[in-house]
Amino acid sequence: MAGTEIGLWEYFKRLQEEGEQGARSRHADECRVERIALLDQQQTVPFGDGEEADESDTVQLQVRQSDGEFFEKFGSVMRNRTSLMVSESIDRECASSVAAECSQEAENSEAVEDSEEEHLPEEAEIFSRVLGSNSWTQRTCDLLHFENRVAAAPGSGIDGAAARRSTEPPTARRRRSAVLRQGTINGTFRGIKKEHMHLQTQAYLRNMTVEQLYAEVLYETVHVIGFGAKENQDEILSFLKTAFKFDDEKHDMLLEEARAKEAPDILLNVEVIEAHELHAKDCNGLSDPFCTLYLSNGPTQRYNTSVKTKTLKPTWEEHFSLPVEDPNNDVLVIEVWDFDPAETVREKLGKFSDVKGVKGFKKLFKEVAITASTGKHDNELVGTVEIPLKEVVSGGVKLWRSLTKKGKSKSQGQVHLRLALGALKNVQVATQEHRQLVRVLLKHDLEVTQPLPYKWSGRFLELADSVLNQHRIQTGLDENHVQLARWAEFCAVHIDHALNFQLLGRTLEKLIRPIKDGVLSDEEARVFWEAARKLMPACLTCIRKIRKLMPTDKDTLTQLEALLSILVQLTTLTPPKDFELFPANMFAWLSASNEPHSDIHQSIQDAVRQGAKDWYDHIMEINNDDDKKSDDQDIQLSYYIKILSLLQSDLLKAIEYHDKIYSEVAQFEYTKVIYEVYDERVFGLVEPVVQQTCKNLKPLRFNEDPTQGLYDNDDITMGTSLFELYIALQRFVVMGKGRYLNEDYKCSKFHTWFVKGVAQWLDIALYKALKRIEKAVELGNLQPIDEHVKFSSSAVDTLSIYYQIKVFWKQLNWPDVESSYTFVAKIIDDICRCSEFYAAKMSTRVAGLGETENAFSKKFEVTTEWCTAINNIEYIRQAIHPFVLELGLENILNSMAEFHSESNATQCRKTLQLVIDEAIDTVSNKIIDLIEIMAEKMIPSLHRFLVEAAELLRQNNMSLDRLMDYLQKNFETLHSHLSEENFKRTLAIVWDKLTKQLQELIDSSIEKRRPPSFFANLSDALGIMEGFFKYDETEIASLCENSDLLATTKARLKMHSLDTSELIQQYFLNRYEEQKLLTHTPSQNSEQCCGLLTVKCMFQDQYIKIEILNGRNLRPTDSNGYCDSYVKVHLLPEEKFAGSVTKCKTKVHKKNLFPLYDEIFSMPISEDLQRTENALIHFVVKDYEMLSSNELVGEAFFPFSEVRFDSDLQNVAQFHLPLTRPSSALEGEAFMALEHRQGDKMARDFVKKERTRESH
Amino acid sequence: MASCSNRLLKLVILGDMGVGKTCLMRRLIYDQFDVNSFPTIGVEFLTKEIHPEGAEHETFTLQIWDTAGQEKFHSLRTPFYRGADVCMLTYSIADRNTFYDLQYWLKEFIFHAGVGANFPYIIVGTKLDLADELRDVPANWAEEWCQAKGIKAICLETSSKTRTNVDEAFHAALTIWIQNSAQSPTSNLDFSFRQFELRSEDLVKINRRQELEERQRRNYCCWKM
Repeated sequence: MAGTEIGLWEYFKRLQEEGEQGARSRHADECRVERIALLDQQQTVPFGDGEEADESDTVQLQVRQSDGEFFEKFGSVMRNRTSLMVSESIDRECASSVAAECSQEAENSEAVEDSEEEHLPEEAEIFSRVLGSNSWTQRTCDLLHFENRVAAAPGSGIDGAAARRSTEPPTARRRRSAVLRQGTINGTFRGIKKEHMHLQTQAYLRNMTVEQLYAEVLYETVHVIGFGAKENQDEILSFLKTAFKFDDEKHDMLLEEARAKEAPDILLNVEVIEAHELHAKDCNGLSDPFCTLYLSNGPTQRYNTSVKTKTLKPTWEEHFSLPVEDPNNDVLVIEVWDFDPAETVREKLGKFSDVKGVKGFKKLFKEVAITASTGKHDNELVGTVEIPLKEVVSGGVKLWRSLTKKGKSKSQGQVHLRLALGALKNVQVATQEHRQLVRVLLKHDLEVTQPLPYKWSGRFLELADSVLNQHRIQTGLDENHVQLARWAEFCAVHIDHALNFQLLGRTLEKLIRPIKDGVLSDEEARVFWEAARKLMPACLTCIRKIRKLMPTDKDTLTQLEALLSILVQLTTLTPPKDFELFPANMFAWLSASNEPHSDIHQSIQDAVRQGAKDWYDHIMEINNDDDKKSDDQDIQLSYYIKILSLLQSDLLKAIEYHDKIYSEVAQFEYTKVIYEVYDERVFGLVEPVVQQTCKNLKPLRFNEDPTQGLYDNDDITMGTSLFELYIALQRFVVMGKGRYLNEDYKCSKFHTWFVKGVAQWLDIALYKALKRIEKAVELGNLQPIDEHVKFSSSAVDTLSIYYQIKVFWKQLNWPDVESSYTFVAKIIDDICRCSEFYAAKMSTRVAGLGETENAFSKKFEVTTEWCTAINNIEYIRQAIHPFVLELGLENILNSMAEFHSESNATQCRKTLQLVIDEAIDTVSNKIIDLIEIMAEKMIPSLHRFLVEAAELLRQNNMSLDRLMDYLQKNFETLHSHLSEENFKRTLAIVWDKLTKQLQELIDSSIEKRRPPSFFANLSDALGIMEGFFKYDETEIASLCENSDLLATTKARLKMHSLDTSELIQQYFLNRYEEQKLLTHTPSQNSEQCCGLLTVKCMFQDQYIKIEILNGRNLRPTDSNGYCDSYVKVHLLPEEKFAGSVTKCKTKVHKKNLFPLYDEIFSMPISEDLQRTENALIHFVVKDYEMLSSNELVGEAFFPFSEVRFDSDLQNVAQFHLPLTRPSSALEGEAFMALEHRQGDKMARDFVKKERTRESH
Repeated sequence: MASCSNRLLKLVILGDMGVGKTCLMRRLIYDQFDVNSFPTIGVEFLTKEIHPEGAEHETFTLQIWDTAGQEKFHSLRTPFYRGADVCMLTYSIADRNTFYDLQYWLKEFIFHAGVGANFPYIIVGTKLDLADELRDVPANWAEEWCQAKGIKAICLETSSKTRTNVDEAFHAALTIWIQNSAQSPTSNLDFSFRQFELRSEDLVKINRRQELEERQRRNYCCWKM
């Protein structure tokens, strides 16, 4: 290895020379490696078939130097040096392969041969000089020479190639063909030397075996770098043996080899980053600082940074690699200098103007003095830092150090450094090795510790850790490369054994910055992306199969979060051009829009979507298909309900567990995407079924006749299942709408599928309600449920049935306003029907109650049951309005106003109000109906009591008492149980019935010619009852419609209860009333009027004086057209004046229709009699007949009440009384009553007389 | 406080959109006619107390359910059919398509109301005021149609605009119902439901009324000629 060392020294020396003042030490890394993307390389190895492709195969890179500078190339060769330290047999193959490629190159590029040829010997020389000690390299060089010779002979290329082929070992040929196939060399680049360089590396990388790696690791272990790492060497060795699974023999052999090799060169990598607060050395108050670095063992090997002019805070950021011989004792010395260029005294003095402050002058003069005295200039030391290499830990350090200067206690400033020990090694090779090592150790680790999937979190076994660390140090890999190696390997291993996503995330995080900064080379970036591509299926599969893969515990969520953050971090990077992150053959399910398959965000979405689809398919699969195909539609529907609930629970899970993570990490609406998928699926699945089912629904049959049972409908279940499906869908839709308001989902109009069903549901609701009401009435005992209320259980049950309808309506939560309105109208109508039905049921229920029957009669008494029945209906009636309000009418009407117009809403409001009013009214009528029935039942008893009372009243008051008792008792019951309103109603109805009954009784009694006393008794009884039927001092009679009827009844009763003479008087009074009508509307020619009689009347003392003046326009009674009239005067009532009054009569005036009587009659009448009520003066005008009885011309009446007291008739006004004949009064009640009194002679005679008078 | 019996009669008006169902109803109840009335939304409801001719003391409360003719309301109106006592089918005499559609309305009604063959109908041709210029349906068609369909119906033509025959149409509804229920009191289940106690005197009244109706019907025949 001595030769190598020399080479190195030369290399560094050259660098030194080249740099001159502040030379830049070119770090090996500066040589840029450029990737060439070859057509073939885009054909990546397929992932999905489970076999992990060998890493080295996927990395198909070609390396070339970016510029032709010699030293750069040379450096690259230097770096490759270590890569060539491999076992000989392989080396040979490699070399031959390289040589073969070179020759191939030569063959392919004849056009450029000449120029390349010139370089070839030089190249070979470098090789041999640098790598001279290595026999392997020597041979390579020979080969190169040989190949070039072959190539150099024009025309003999083919022969040469043929000859070479025959000498090649089979493996080499294989490799070469591989190279050819990959088209590595295609003549694009001119410099063959460059090609050689990278080809070598590549060949090595391609062919690296585990054995080589193992040997390398052993070597590193044996020649460990760093401090405190040697103690457990044996342990590490045996660990390695296990991890690599090598047998003892091989192990020992390789270990021997490793031991035999020399210890690696150690480099101290120093980065001088910056300094600050430097002591000013120049007269201008600033310095021109630069640093000098050297090791205390070799102070002559000095490395300088560039000079930063006029600053006290320089930034260098320069790298140096110092070969270290004795890392244990050596000390790194860093001196900071102030640079002083050579200047004459004059020049120095010229700076006078720049001087700042007194100190500046001092410095200037000092400088001037020195220059003047010594004639030379010198750099001035600012300060020194000494760092023992022991302090440099194996991982490297970054630190600030203070500068010190001899004799000065004050700090001269600080300098910022990064220090690390390492070995020289080709980065590519080292990275490759590191990756392989990571993989071997990781696999071993997994084997040993057996972690669960997603658990391994990056913590290697302790020994493995130190091996890796050592490798890192010895190969001088920087952090970026280490992380890249880890990333690549973790990703690769993850395919077989899922690692903790957090670990991957952390690794990725460390790489993000370098990638963004472009620190990684293109080929490294490619490695990175290849690994990412490997990770993608795992990530996306996790997303897709989250329902199956991981239980929803906290750990899973952490993993999910980590996974997502990996994906999100990747999105911040741009994959190389033409890099397909999601190869189509792997991700067939990615959406077509996701082209060119590299959009991670889109892929997440696709994965989520696909996951939802998978889950949907899974659900469909595991659920029995028999249900779906079942003939029974009911079972079919429950199948869909089940599917929906499963989907919904999945959505709920997504909301509960995953949504937050997705939105926080990836700003991704997870559930929404799932929802979209389900929405579409559900639409396709359920919609046709619902439509079909609705179509098949048959209307229910009703038989609302309460006397018969309800019609049995057995197909209710289908409607019910359909409703359940509706509810399930509703929940599903609400979930989507509630969360994502503006989305227009396919299912969001789900209710329209069901429109036909709603009618059915309403019918079902009605039908069930009727059924239950029937049952409730049947079971109810008509006893108030407790002492505070007066209705019974069936009313409460019925109301609760209504509320079930309300609950149904609320559940339905129908979104469409127009239909809502209509349905509500229907519901109200249904409620009305239910109430009617209930009322009808109630009345049949109580129909037979309260009736007792004995041998003589039927009796009916109002029972509490009757009251309860009425109360029940009333209770329901009162419940209608509040119930209806609870249906949410206002909301519906308000939305109607928004949806249509205010006027439409008003119209609808009107309609609904009407429907409600009508419903309440209808039920009210039902109450009235029932009360009427009840009243009707009371009537027979009342009738009986009335008859008894009328017949026996005078003899025995008890009968009327019995009537009153009966009423009292029943009304007490009613009053104590019924509401005020219904009680009033009852009173009114009973009263109404009673008066009607009375009417009938009177009629029949008249027929039966009951005596006046009977009617008088009835009249009394009526009076008593009228007083009894009072409520709040209001006479019930006034509430009745037929108050006229009552008045006539009363009048009739009164009439029939009168004596015959009284009746006769009443008759005349009626006649007087008729006459009055004529007086007020005098119509001389009317049929009724038989002329006028002019009279004067007055009371004088105990007398009445009557003057009969004349008659006018008398009715002609004789055939000659005249009449022979005279006037007779009676006082009525006749029996009162019978004793005192003589009959007065005028003379007869013959053949005169305008007779002048001019007669005065005076009759003694006591003052008492003068005040007789209703007394009348009765003027009878008759036609005197000689042969037959006198014929009536007309009659007139004058009441005593009109007669004035006076002294002289001269002062009294004349009265023109119209003459009438009995006509309409004969129809009057009084005359009728007289006619009915056939047994009464007086009545009979009177009637006969009047009839005769009429007939004339 | 009504104590005299007040019977409910549920009447459903059906017919194509724009035939003038609502106008007919409003003319009867409010005596109004609005040329620019809106299409009915879902359903409208009004009540009217009417007295059979010749029996003015008898009161019937006519519950009129006016349905929306628009197709989109199809599913909304059908629930109201059930429990109807009389069905009024309307068409416009100025548009024979509305007349042709009567059969669909009839079918729909029979299906959803679940009524038998004896159910009473009123067939109303509207817009009689347009008869002179735009008559599209001959006056005798309705009668013939009813005969062909074998339904019991009274047919007449009305104009809500001029108030011709509007009251008559609704009275005819009452008439045909009374007539029908007297003939077959058990054929219509709803009938017995409403009249849960059909008293003998009612039957007498009905018979009396029947005579009146006969007379009335002759009147209808007169103007129909």
